[in-house]
Amino acid sequence: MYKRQPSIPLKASCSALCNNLDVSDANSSQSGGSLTFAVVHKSVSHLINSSPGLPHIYRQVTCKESESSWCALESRKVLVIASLKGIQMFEPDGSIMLFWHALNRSDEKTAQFARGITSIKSDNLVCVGTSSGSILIFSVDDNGKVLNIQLKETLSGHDVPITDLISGESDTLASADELGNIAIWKTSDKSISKVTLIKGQNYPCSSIRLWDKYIIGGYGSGHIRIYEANTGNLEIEIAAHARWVNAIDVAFEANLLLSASEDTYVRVWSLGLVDNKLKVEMKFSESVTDVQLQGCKFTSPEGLTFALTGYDFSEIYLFSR
Amino acid sequence: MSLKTLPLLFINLGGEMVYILDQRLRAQSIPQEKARKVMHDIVGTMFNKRFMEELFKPQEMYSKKAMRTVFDRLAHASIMRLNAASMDKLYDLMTMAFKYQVSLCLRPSDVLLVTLNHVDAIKDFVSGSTKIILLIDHVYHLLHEHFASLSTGQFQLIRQALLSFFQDMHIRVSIFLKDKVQNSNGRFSLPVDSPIPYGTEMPGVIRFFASNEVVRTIEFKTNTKYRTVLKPGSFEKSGERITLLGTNMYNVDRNVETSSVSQSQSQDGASGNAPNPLAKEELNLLAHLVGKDEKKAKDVSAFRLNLFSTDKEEEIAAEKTIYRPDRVINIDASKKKASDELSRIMDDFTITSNNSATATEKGDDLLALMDSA
Repeated sequence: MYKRQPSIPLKASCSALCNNLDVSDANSSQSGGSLTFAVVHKSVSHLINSSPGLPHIYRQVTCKESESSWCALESRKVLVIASLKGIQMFEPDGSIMLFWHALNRSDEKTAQFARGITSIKSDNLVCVGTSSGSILIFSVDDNGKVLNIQLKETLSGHDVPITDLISGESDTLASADELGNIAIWKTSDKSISKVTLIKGQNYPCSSIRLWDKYIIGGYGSGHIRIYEANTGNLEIEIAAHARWVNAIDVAFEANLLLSASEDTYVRVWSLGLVDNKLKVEMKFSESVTDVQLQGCKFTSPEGLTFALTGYDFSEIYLFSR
Repeated sequence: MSLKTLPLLFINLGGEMVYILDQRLRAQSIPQEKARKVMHDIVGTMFNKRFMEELFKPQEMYSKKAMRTVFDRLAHASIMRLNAASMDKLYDLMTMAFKYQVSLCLRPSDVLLVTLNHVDAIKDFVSGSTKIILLIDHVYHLLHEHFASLSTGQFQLIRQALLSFFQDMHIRVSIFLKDKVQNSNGRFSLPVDSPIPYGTEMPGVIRFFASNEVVRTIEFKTNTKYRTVLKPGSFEKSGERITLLGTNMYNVDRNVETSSVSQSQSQDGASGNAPNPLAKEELNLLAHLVGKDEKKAKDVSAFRLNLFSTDKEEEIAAEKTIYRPDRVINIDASKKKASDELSRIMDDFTITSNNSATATEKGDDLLALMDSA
């Protein structure tokens, strides 16, 4: 189904962090084949632009052991970096820092960090998770003349560090934590409230995605679980990998789910509804020999190509149909 | 992203050091009495009570250089001397062995079992000394108190921090290459036909639920032979660790060689062959704090340990290291008065030097403590 393509070389190796890969413009089909990838190497976020027929363009943004992700809002697009020190927002190419929010260093005994980045496009909100379990909501207003970014709200609903955040249609926000709990939030009339809490089974939920009315989680136990987001009912459980699932992703137009694990395997699953019942099937499975996979991303909603990163290796692996 | 990583890093690297020294002491036919003194001195210094308590306080990880300096000091805590080439080789072996163990952990919490394997083995090496056994018992206590009740997520942060410390280190080790656990490019081979972590499930099943009950199950092919692990491994003082990672792999007598992979993958600005004046000053200062080596070196019973099979090999390796000034430490205990000045120089560097500075300062305190042992 998918075939391995020549890799994109990185200037530095990929760090061992869940979801350590983002692709700019992955959700729009108008990128013209030009893609920008973000991979974290220790305290540097590496941005790599790959366009057909052109040499790769590299840029580095210094952070501190972190996660970086692009947020496309109605008003503008920003590159968000969540790290040990706090939250930074940059121009999408990483050239200029637009905003900086330091984390509250109240406790010297545990490491403070920000992890999990998503955005609510229509409301121009950037959401970032923290090690205290709270979720910071920033409003990004840009009328073309004045850019105004500020902390709008702090959501509390988790007692342990946030692992990942994702937003979906109909103003849904989902958050996952280190004990495997998943919370579903709804935004309405300028307020965000928790509607569902799905109890975890102690293994962290490292990566979450929303698809249709479902929330999908990849877990440290190697499982993938799919819940109905409104009721929190478990619909499907997949014993998917032999080690930690470090990242999952969804290609919305192709209805495909991607999962990458420390067990070196990448797997592609088809998602479908038959008589209003959810169906899942494994479509593709391949081991990237001796590579503990850390990040995975489809590069477009059609799911024709996906990209992978692995700990200690300086390349982005590509697979295409 | 964890402040609890340092004690695990130190104890495991120290454990590997003890394994290698034991093997070399035997290979070089060092008299039993001297060999025992070396082991007791080193283990006693390593597990010094105040030093351990300092190490277990929440703190950031040391820079690679500061860590190396701590072990240079530790290796010379007795009557044994290592030249720069042997010390390099010793440290390379230690780091690659622990990198292997962290990389192949089935579950993140296995790093604690690996640590306990090391402590168990060290305890056997010093079985004759009640004083040192007491120190080791205290380490068991500290490990249990600080780590036994951590969640899987907290262990994952620790493992990620350890992997970050070892990132871009790809030194080839003969024992690993022979056993085919390391490839010629310095990467570890990750067998897919391997045990699955305790408490998890074998891949290959999709379960469909309705009202929280399984209504249908389908299977998919993984083309992999998985095995289950039946026991979790014990965090208690004496217990079954289950994993073999962290046990002594030098028990069978064989020579171990290292060689760096020619292509330099390293991204740490300070490494590589370019002399780094900042690093040199930093190391001189640390070496000064460590001090007191000269006195011991004059001890008539002192001997030199060689990590290579022959002295000739060591000389060749030593020549290679000459061009790496950042790895050579000048120990000069006679200039005690210069310490204020060096501290000031150090302070000056703190402003301009990179993020390793803070970790190094903390390293100083611990080195001083180690000295007072």
